[in-house]
Amino acid sequence: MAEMLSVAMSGLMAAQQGLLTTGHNISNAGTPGFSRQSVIVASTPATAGANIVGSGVSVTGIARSYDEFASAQVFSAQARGSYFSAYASQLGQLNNMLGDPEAGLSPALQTFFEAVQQVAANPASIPGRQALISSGQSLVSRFRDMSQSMDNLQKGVNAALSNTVSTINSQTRELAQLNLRISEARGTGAPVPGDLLDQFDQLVADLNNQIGVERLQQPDGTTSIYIGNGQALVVGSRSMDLQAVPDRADYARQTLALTLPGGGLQRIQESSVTGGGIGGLLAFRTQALDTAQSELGRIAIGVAQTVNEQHALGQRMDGNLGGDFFTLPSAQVFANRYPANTGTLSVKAETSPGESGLLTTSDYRLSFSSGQYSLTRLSDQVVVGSGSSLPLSADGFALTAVSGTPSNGDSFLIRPVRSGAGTIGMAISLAQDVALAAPLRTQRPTTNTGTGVLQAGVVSSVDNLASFPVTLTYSTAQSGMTGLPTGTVVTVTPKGGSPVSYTIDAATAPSFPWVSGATVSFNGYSTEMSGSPANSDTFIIERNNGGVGDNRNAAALARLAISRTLANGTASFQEAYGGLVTDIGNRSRAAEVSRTAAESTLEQAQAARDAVSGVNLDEEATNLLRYQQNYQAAGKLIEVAGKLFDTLLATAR
Amino acid sequence: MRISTSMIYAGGGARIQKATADLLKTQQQVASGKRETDPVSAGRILQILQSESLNMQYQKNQDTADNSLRMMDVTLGALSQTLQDVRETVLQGVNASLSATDRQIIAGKLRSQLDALIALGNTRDSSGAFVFSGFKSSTQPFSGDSNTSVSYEGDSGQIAIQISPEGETPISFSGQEVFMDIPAVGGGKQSVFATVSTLATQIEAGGANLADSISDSLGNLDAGLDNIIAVRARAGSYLNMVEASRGLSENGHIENQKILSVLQDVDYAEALSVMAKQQTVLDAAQKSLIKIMSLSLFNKL
Repeated sequence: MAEMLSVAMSGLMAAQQGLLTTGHNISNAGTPGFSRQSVIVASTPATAGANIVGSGVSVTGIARSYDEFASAQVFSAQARGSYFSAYASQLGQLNNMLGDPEAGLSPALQTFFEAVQQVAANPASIPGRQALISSGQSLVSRFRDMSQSMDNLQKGVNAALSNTVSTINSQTRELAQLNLRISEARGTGAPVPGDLLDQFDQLVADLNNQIGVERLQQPDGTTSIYIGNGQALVVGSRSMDLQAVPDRADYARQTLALTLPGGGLQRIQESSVTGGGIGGLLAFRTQALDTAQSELGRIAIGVAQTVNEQHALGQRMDGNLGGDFFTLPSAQVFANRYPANTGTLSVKAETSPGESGLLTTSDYRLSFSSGQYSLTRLSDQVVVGSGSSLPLSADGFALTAVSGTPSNGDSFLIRPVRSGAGTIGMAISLAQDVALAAPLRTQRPTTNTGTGVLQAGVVSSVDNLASFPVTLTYSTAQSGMTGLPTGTVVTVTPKGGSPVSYTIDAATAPSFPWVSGATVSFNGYSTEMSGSPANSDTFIIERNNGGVGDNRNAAALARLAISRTLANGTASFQEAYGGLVTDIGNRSRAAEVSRTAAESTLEQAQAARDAVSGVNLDEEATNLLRYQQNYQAAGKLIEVAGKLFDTLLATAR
Repeated sequence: MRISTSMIYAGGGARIQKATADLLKTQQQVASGKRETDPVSAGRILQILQSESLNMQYQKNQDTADNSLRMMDVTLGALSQTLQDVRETVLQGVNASLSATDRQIIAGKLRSQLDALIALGNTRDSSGAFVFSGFKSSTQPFSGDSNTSVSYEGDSGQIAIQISPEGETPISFSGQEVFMDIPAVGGGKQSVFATVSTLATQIEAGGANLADSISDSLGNLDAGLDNIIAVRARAGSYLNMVEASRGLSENGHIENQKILSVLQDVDYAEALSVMAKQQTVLDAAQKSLIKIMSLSLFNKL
């Protein structure tokens, strides 16, 4: 009897556990990361000596339906998914800004050069000149606005880094706490509650959304969490905080570091952070945003320098030479702060005159050690300059010392183009100061009897402008043009032929030949000869006083729209910008594709995990019925046992 | 294989979201008329917009060149006419039977024709710039009148503008070229004004062999006329260049617009049928999810 009761009780208990567990499953059907639990029952064998009939059932444990491999797949899919989600959405913003046919750089560039063409058709028109200055101002504003937007994206990445870091830290601290509880639970000898392990896994999944991590199971039941190159975030019950710290040189740029147990800081290599939102943000910043900002800056510097250089070759309405049209953008130099430079050297970087076409989009590092300066291009780690003193120049820019002296080990971060678009400005505000005429013209006196003609000419340098006016006289005796002073180098290039140089000596070689159809150049001036002059015919090359209707410099400025002046002569301004738009567009498109693929992979991994660990309400409903019946049956057994006892008692009376 | 209840809901929800997103994207394209461009097309579109901008500029320049050259032609025509009138007046004055008074009247007529020539030389365009001053468009080219000698204050510059990517065309002729550098009979150069002035003086003076003594000056006058004809011919050839460029620009524009349309315009027939399909997909996804959600063992217990 007693045995029957205890057997029935054990059945009742087991059914009850089953019902409770099923109820637990049902309640947690929607809990993220929950692993389905089931009772493990085993029959209690017969006690020694008594009957061979067993003595009921006992619950030996609650099983957690869990597949380590499936979970690992979900974690890594999560890390990838969040990575591409962050990467693609940031890239999408950048792509929209750059590629917008109205808000991008293209329309502003077009409007500017359209205004140049307008004024070339009527250079004396003050309203036309004013319109040119306005469109120059618009171009400057557009560059600055785009630079500002990109700066905002940079600030956004910095802010997101800080926020994510605090989220990660609170997650790792919780993980450490859970590790403690898990190891304590282990210590008591009892099985670790599945819910505890589920909580741990769910935190790891959330952590993977922020930053890709690796797990390592330890023998004591705890799990260690690692990032990047094996740096530990959680070991046992201890967690290490991440920090957002300023870059070694650019103090406004945030990067990651790990707080070491001893209290020090270990900087984390950004390239080793893969996965999670942070990985996506860092990849966006290094691969897309920095490059885009540098390329836009390079275009701004190219526009400013080439326009300025052509403008300086022209003549204003008052007859003076044109100065700068735009203010040349400035380059960034950062002295190392972490660790700080011990020397007092301060360095300046500037685009070298005429060399904006040689600029690259890379950053550079200037370091000083053992008495030698070394300039390294960071995109490919090639040393592009070295020497024992400044100035040093390479790739279109020059570094000069402003003040102070360096110490061994000092280092500087140089960014020749990054701030280009943000620092371009207008140098002209008065309509009369736009230099649209050329400073020299050719006069042919009425007294000439021959048919020789010299075109008005092109000015390519104003360094020797003081040597004009020049009177050239055709001399049949000398079979050429005389009148240039000794030492002048004259180049005559026949049509379709190669240039020939003549050095003038007033005594021995005073002339250069007149070749119809050929171009002749000297002292920065070149023109075309045609027809044939008679003996003693003269041509006067003089300053273009009063030449307000002359549009030669305006035409030259207009031609800059299509000249290939950037990237070593391979791209015009629009082509360079178009290349940037296509590049970012391609990256954005690839990121979107990867994002969709990662989302789909995540879904599949979750389905695989849920096939093992998920709760299906229909299944639980069936279990409810089953355990209910078990319970009823066991209860019935108790009733029968009771009835038997009553029968026994009734017999004994 | 077990499908967890949460997967059913999550999966179904995700499917509906995707179908909605696809439908919205298509709707956006239909409403804006612009299809979704891939990065290479986006770059190409920027290229074409740039080409259109340049084209438009060239077309504006072609119009300016056309206006300037036509106006120049009209002015040269008037010049030609005036010189013809001078010739006729001179021939009238050569008549031996004229009295001194008559010859004075004729000389006076010549001098007023000279004033007309000076006025033509000082022609301004619609923006007030002098057309015969070379580069010095704010400086009046010819000073003096029929009683003094006329000098040239301009320069020999010729203004040109860009009418196509390859070519500039001149749109002006300097006063030096049109009026001053006329080859004179017997060598050297003489200006048109000097010639007419000389003719007036000679006719006024009269003399025995008037026809002979003015023959040189008459030759100079003819040289002046021939020069103007030559300049007009050159203006005509520049106008032809402008016309040719105009044709090219027009064709370029049409081609660009065609390519732009292919690259960025929505094909409405295709888009609307895609949209209809996507609506069906969304509808089916929603209905099927409702059906699945209503299937539960708990409903049967």
